[in-house]
Amino acid sequence: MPPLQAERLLYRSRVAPPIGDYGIIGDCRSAALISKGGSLDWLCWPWFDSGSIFAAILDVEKGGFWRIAPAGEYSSTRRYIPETNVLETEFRTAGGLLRVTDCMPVYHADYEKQHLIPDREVLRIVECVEGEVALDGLYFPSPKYGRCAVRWRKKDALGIRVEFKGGALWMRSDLPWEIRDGHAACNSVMRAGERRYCSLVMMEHGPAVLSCLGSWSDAALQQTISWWKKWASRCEYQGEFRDEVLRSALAGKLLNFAPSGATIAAPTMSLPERVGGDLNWDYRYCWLRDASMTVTAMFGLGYHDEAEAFIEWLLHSTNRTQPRLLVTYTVYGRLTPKEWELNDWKGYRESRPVRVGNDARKQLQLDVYGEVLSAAVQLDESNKRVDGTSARVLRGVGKYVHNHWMLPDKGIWEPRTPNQHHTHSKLMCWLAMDSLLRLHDGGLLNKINRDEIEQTLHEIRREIEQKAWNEERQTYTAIFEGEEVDASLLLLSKHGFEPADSSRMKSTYRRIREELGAGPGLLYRYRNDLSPGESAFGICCFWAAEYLALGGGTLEEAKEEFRKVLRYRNDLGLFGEEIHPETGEVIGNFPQGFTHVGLINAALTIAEREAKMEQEAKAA
Amino acid sequence: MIVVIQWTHWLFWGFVASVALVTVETIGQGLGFTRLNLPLILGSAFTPDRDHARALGVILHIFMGWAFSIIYVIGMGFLGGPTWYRGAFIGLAHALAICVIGWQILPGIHPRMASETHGPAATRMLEPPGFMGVNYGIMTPVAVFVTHAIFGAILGAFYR
Repeated sequence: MPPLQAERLLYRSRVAPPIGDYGIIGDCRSAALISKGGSLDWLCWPWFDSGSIFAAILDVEKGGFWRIAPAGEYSSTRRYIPETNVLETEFRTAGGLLRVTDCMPVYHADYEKQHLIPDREVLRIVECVEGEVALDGLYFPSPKYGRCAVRWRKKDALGIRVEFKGGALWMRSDLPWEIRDGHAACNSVMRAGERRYCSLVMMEHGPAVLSCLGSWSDAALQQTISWWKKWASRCEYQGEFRDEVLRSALAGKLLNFAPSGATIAAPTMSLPERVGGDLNWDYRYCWLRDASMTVTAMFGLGYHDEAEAFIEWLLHSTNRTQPRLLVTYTVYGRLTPKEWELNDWKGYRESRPVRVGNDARKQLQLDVYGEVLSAAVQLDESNKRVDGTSARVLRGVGKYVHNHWMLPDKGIWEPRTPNQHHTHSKLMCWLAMDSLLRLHDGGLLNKINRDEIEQTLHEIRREIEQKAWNEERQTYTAIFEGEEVDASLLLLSKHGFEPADSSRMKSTYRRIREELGAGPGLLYRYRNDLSPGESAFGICCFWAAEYLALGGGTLEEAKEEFRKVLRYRNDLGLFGEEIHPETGEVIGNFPQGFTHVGLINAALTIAEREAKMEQEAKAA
Repeated sequence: MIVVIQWTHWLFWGFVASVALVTVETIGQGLGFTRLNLPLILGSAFTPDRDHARALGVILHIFMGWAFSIIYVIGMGFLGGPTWYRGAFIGLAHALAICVIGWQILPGIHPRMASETHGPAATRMLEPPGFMGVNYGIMTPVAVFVTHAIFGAILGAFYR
């Protein structure tokens, strides 16, 4: 596919906007990022980890984008329609006001049964609200990372077809789009009250289902709004931070792959951990590490179906490698693809290389076992049973930990350095053993050697208490017999290893604040030779607030800390992986499920503490 | 000339050839040679529910292949008796008829297929095949010819 001609970039910058300028829409199978400037700059179809159709966020000239915005000067504001993932952007120009409503339609089951609907669709509805606005549209799809030949055809009544090996895209619109050299453009003037529709559908294995636009598209939009509102209404959290928690839940739901129940880390790849640097990874896969925290968040908000589907996926989709668990899997439980690079792509603001696939899959990370077993324990808490096959899997995973917990590994932060004894990994091995016992004692799991597991549990505890505690520095350390701290030590309390108000935890927290503090509410995940230029890590900031809520501080301190972190969300309430300590900008893959899970869990813990205090007050 | 039909042979090998036809078509579609999905097209004539349409379409497709195989049997009888190459020849002729005539008239008779002239409507949204079926990919005519030649060849080789 030839790069887009320079003159077509007239109304958009060659430099990608700040990451926080993007909003996300999705259909729980794929997701798109749309900028404040009305440009759809990221979309992989048909699944999250498929080849990109639009990827201008990583290379404006080669990646492809779909822009619908006013020509010339404008200012824009946007919001999600409340309790939905339907994005509304308003463009104010000298002559009027233009509103673009973007969504990937989702339908109620009964509607789906009665109507033939597209498998994948991006629906963009353009409405002139006031005055007169000149519109500039540019449609430049670049399928499969721009690495395949495309054939353009304009079929008047059916729209514009872009055919490529393995699929076809149909773009239909009642706006006047014209095919030019390798792209389609639309220049039109809209007047107050006019409403136009653009629909993009893709079909990989079969004839496409085309959108009818007009009232049909309005019905699709209404279905989508209603579907999301219904989903949002199931959120049981009613605390002080409901708006923020609900937005996080909605963002998290977009990362949930409905056909299998898996949850991906983020919908993007190679958005840099350091702008201009080389820490650019593909996050469109499922990290088992996120498991127990994600499940806690889902159960905590009342999304039991999603939580159980995710546990089901954890236990059964990973069966190809069990009892060994890998760090990452695809949404269908396959091995993540080997890493390769898009050598000719510029990367986000010159952050190269642009990597596809993820080699972290090969690392030994012992913490994932604790995550999986601890996620399964939550079935007990929601009064579910464990079937025979799942019980076999849990026993196998437990046995693996029992035999391997003493090995060094890569740890939670996945450095590409030699293996070490990471305190967090040992903590999670301890949690794995503890979870096995809880499953056994709860009657969910039989046929385990309780004494043997209990002995291992005590052995791991002894190791952590002796080797991870630095008496001289009065802190737990990131690695055994080490000096430095990392933010994952805050989880010692969350996982019940050490009370939050113990003197050891309090002095560890002080040390973490001193050495990893990056500004108000911000924490680095670690500070060492590997981290120059790295930003504050989103979830670690929420771990700190949660630690305080668990008893490391007062309720007010926890809330204050939480509020400080919330200030760094973008205008839509979304977080990325990291936060720039000076500018507060979003850094890294976006939006990041792990950070939003951290937000939800911190809010839930704060609410729990609040409820407990109220109860105590009443009792007194 | 009188063609004598071995009914049990026709029933059995007609069924086998039909299953093979659907299987090879599905493989071709899965491997990305074509987006032609006849089960979906056939099934969606009766229901808008995709999953039901696909399942119903597979059954319909096999039954239609089965019924069509009687024409192959008669045709081979007229051509001098069943052989794999006579079967394949009839398959190619059948494929030509599908590509040139069948795809052209389909939007007119399929209740949920859009037409290139009028575009999609609320009840007609399925992408039409276009001339020779190339809307579903440039390799679609090739896939239709190959699958029908295999269908005919199986019937010709085994029906006696």
